[in-house]
Formats: sequence, structure tokens, C-alpha cells
Amino acid sequence: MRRLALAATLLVLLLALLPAVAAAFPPSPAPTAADPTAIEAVSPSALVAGVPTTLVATLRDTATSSPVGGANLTFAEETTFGWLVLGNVTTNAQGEAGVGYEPVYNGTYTVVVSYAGDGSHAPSNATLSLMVLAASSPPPPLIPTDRLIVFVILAVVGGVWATYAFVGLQILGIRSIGSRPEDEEFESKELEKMEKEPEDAGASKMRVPGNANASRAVVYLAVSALVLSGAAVGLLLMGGVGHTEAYNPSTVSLQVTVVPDFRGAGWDSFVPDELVVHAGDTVKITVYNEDTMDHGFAIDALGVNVVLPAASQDNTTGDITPSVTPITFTASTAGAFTWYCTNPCGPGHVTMIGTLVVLSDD
Amino acid sequence: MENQADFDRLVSPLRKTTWRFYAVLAPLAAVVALGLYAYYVQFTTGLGVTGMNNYVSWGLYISDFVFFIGVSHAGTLISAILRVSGAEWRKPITRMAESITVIAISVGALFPLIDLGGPTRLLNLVEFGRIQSPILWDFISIATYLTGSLLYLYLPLVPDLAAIREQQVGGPIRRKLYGFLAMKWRSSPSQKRRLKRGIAIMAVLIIPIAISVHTVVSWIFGMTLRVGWHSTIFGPYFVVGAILSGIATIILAMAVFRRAYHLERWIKPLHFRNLGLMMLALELILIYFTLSEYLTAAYGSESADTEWLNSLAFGPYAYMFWGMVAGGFLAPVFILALTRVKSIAWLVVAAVCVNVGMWFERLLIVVPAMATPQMPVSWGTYTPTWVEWSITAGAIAGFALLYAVFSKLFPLVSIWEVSEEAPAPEAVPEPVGEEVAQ
Repeated sequence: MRRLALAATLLVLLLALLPAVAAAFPPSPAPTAADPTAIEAVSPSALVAGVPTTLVATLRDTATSSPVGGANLTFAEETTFGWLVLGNVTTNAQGEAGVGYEPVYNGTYTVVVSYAGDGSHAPSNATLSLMVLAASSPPPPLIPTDRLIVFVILAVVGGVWATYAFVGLQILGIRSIGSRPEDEEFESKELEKMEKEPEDAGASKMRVPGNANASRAVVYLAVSALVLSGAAVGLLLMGGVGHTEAYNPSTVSLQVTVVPDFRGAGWDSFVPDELVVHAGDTVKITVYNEDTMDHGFAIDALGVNVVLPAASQDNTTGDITPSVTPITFTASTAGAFTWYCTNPCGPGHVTMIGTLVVLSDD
Repeated sequence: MENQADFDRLVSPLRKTTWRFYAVLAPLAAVVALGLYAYYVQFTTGLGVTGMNNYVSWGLYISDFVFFIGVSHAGTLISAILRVSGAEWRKPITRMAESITVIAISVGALFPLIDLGGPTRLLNLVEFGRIQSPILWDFISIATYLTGSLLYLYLPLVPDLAAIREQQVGGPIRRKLYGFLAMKWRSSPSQKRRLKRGIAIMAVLIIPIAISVHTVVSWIFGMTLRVGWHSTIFGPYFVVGAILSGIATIILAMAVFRRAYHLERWIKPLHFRNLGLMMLALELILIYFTLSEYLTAAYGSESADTEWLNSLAFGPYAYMFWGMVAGGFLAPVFILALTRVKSIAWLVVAAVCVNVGMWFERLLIVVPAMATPQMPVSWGTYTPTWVEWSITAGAIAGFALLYAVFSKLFPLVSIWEVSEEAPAPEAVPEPVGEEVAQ
């Protein structure tokens, strides 16, 4: 009974408190005639992984079409696990706010700029779709596959084979002793030595007292030096990287086709999306466009930028004749370069990219 | 020789050969001939006669290669580790283990050549080889391993060969061979000192070499950026599997030769029991590694990992995969645990299970990872043809054949080592428990 009474008292108290709570948090006033706003944000033209840049957005009052200063804009990037706030920035007198942005990997990212609104301005937001290109040169490998690793391998293998040679010398020693007549004095000395050595105990045999230690150390040093220099000589003979031949730049003819709905993607793709040439090559790419709209082909770092005209379609048969655009340029520097479509062609536009790998000579 | 009767018993296989030996040899030789014929067909018509294709370019041959190199770890590791650690009971079985090593490497090293199609392509390795590539590491480490194993097999043979030469065993050609290989051994202290030094060095050196060989073999897979291969556990995983199949093989060899050549006096239940316990321990480690490898890949549920594991557990390899788990992993553990490693017959059954299981394990590492490509293309399929099966069977028969021939040329038990300390096997306390059943 007492419990029930306690619960009832609590309930009454809570009910009595409710109006007080409601008074403390007045309902937000009904939206008055706040001016509508709009955010203008433009994607930077070429974002490259690892290169810092600034995302800029401008807040405007669309009723008066004047910029809104002193407003707080929130920049947030969409990630796998939710929204990552890039920054809260107050707009300047021109209504502009900017936030630093450094993409880590290539790919397509979505950044939303939002304005919460205030008494006289309605909230608004804008979405930025950012296409980040791969850095033109990938990071160097952690383990250098150069001369060092070859030297280490040769030294280790050389050490093993030098030890084999030493064991082989023991065998030859057995033979040469066997072909001599038996020498009592020599044998008794050897027996003495053998008794001093630990019985069949592997590496512990290395411990020998007295002068023998010093002369033995000299022998080990000499053998090690021989092995290491042998490895160095081997390295020089092989040039460290095995069989290499100087590459003579030449003219390389390649083909790329713009394929609509490639493998059910729903939009256009470059096929293939990777080409490999050598630095210094004259690259001739023939681009076929099978799509009935214009596309573009640009590699910023190599100064390539052409329009791929739409394919023509026969009105009666529906047959499509692809347009043909030859491109010629010189792959002047080594690296991985992204080519992309310059004509915003639809939802798949940002994925309409490919990579030109230019191999260096070494 | 102190005990002439023991000596005669141990070299009797060298002195006389019964019809039974040829009766065993003939079918083995027939299978080898079939393998050679299959290779002739492949050599003259090209690799197209195999089931390999542009998806699955490594099949039975590379699995056989990994398997045989694994079996070769019997000798070195068992005999070298036991020698270095001073386990006296090893003496009667070291030579059997060491000869398995040499023969298994020789057979296994043929498979990359067979897999190349034209064997002259091997020259490309010399002409265009880059030391930075794991393939060349493999070439170097196997050549080093074979040389080291030959030295390690040969050194303890020298005193026995001298005794055999003295006792005029074999015809004139063999006498010449024994005479040459005996290196004028007369058991003088100076010679013994050099021999023991050589053996001591080789016993220590061969252990890291053997471990590195199978690690390098695993790196051919592990250093390829391919789902199912690119795994940090591959080095120890391959080494443990190698020692396991090596032990299984030496148990089989011990059982066969003990029976055939009446070596009961030297090869005792103790040896079977000790090796059986080692096999059980290694099998448990292998199960643990396998679980760790597959569970880690499965839990992450990355799409490529999942595709590869699906093909193993529920796809075209499901029978092989679960067969390997049940027959190659669990069955030996249960057999060894239930019989408490006391029955030689059951130990042999377990050893056969282990070896068959390990062969499938190698195949299941090589093929499914190649058949489930990460590119957005369809799965590959691989069905070995009769050529590949025949060459595989020929290699296994060839291994047995070479071993049989070896047993007719050299004593399988190191005579000088077992007579040096005759009571050695007894000196080790017999395992506690009931008398070991035979």
C-alpha cells in the first residue's frame, strides 16, 4: 500500500510540474515571414588527393538577392559512419565562408553546406559533389626493391654456401688424412683436442681456449669479408636490378571507347579505364564515343582536353555510328594521371574517369 | 664393427634382394612409366592437355610442388632438431628422415619445370631473373636446401660406407662407389673430429635453411595481392604443415621398412610413440592456424573474401574442403588421442590421413584463390586432366621407388651411430603407461 501511495504522490507532483516545464521552454514562434535563402557552392575544378584546398560557399537572401553576412554555415562531409563536420564558419560581408579541405584518397565525396536560419532568414543548404583525382605519383613502396635487398640476399646466401664449402673442406680433410700413413703423434693430439671439445653439441663447439680463438676470429672475419665483397661484386655484375634494357620511346596507338550502360552501370564509362605507356612515348589515343551525347576527354597534367562529339543514330534502323576522335600527345612525365569526362553528362559523370600510367625508365 | 650380427642384419638388404622387392618395385615402376608417358604427351602437345587455363594457371603441379617440398622437411627438422637438442633416441631414424628429405626435394623440384611446359623456359630465370622477385628466391633457396640436405645426409654415411667397403658388400661397381664415397675413412680421432665438426655445423645450419625454404614457398603466394593468399600467417602456416607431413611420411617409412627389413631391434615402439606425439602436436597447431586464417577472413565479410570462402565452404570445393577438415585434420587428432598414440597400425592410418589431408590443403590454397578473381568477371573453373593426375601419381610412385632403391644401396639405419652407444635407445626412459601395443 505504501508503495502505491508513493507512486501516486510522485505522479501528482510530476503533473503539477508540467506547466512549469512548458513555461520554461516556450514553443518556437510560428515561422514568420522569414526571407528565403540559398547557398551557392561550387566544386573546385580539379581536386587531387593529398593537396589541400578550400571549399567556399556563399549565402544569399533570395528575396533581396543580397549576401547574408555574419551567418553561421556548417560544412559536413558524408562518410560511411555518418557526417563529419569539416567546420562551422561565419560568413563575411560578401556572404562567403570557406573551410580548408584536404582529401586523402581519390574518389567521389559529398559535402553538404547548411545554414540553420535565424529570425529573418529561412534555413537552406547546398550539396557539393567532389571528384578527387589520384595523386600523380603514388607513394614509394615501404620496402625498397633496389640494390639493398639484393645485397642482403646475396650476402646471406653467400654465407650459407661459404659454410657448405667449409664442411666440404672437412670431408676433403678426412680423405687426405686417410690417404696418409697413420701418424701416432698427430692422432693422439687430435684425440686430446676432441676430448676438450663438447660432445656433438652443435654451435657450442665454437668456444676454443687460447690462441686458437684469435686465429679463428681472423678466419671468420676474412670469410665474412670475402662473402660480403662477393655479394657486392655480384650486385655490380647484375646492376642490382637484373636484366634491364634502356627503353626507346616510340609512338603508341591505343583505343578507348565511351560505352553507355557498361555492364549495367546505368551510365557511361570509358573502356578500358587504364592505359600504360612509357615516359617519352608519343601517345595516339583514338576515342570512340558510342553514346548519343557529347562527352569530353581531359588529362590536366598533360594538357589534353578535347570534346568527344555524340554518336550519330540512324533514325529508321536505330543503328549507332560512334564518333571517332583522335588524340595525340607526348607522355612527358612519369606518373599515374587521371583522365575524365569534361562534359557534366549525368549522375555517372563523376565515375567517368580512367587512369593513364606513364612508366618511368628506371 | 663390434657386433657382427647387428651389422649383418642392417646391411642384409644391401646384400640380397628377394623377389618380393621386385614385386613391389614393378607396379611402382609402371606408375612412374605412366607419369613419364603423360609428360611426353604434355611435352609434345603443350600445356593445353592440362586443365589449367588463363584463370587457374597453377593447378596440381604447383600443389604437388608445395606438398613434396613440405614432405622434405621430415629429415632436416626431425633429425637436425633432435641432434642439436641431444635426443639420443633419434639415432636409428635419422638416416630414414634425411633420405626422405633429399628424395622429396628432388621429386618436388621437378614440378615447377613440369609446370613451365617447355623446360627451356627455365633459362628465362637466369636471363631475365630479378633477385627482387620471390620466384627467384624460391629457386635459390631450394638449390641451397638440396645441397645442404645432401651434405647432411652424406656426412653421417661416411663411417658406414667404410664399414660396408671393408666387408666387401655388393658387386664391383658398388664396391667402387662405396670406396669412393667412404673417403678413406679409418675411424682415426682426427677423422672423427672433422666428421663431427661437419655434422655439428650442418645440423645447426640446416634448420634455418629448411624453415626459410618453406617460408619462401609460402611467400610466392603471400606476397601476391590476391584474396586467399595475401596473408601474414602463410610463412609459419606452411612450415608447420611441412613438418607435419614430413613426420607423417617418416612414420610411414618406418612402418614399411621395419616390417620389410626386420628392423624391430632398432626401430622401436618408442620411436613411433614420440613421433606420433610430435605429429599430434603439430596437427593441433595446424588446425589452430587454419582456424585463425579462415575465421579472420570470414569475420570481416569483405566481398572478395566472402566470395572466396563461399567457394571453399559451400561452392565447388566444399567436398574437398570439408573432407580435408574431417579426414585430414580431425580424424588424425581423434585417432591419435583415442589410441593414446600406442598402436602402430592406427598411427599409420593417422599418418596416411595427415598426408592425404595435407595434399588437399595445398591444392585448396592454390586453386580456389585463382578461380575466384577479384576483377568483376565470372569465376574460373579447373578440372585436372588425366595428364596431370598421371604425372602426380608418377611422382608419388617415383618417390617410393627412389626410396626403395636407396634402401638397397645404403643402410637405412646409421650403423656406427647406433653401435657407438648401443644401449642408447634404452637409456631414454620409456613412456609411462602400459606396454606399447605393436
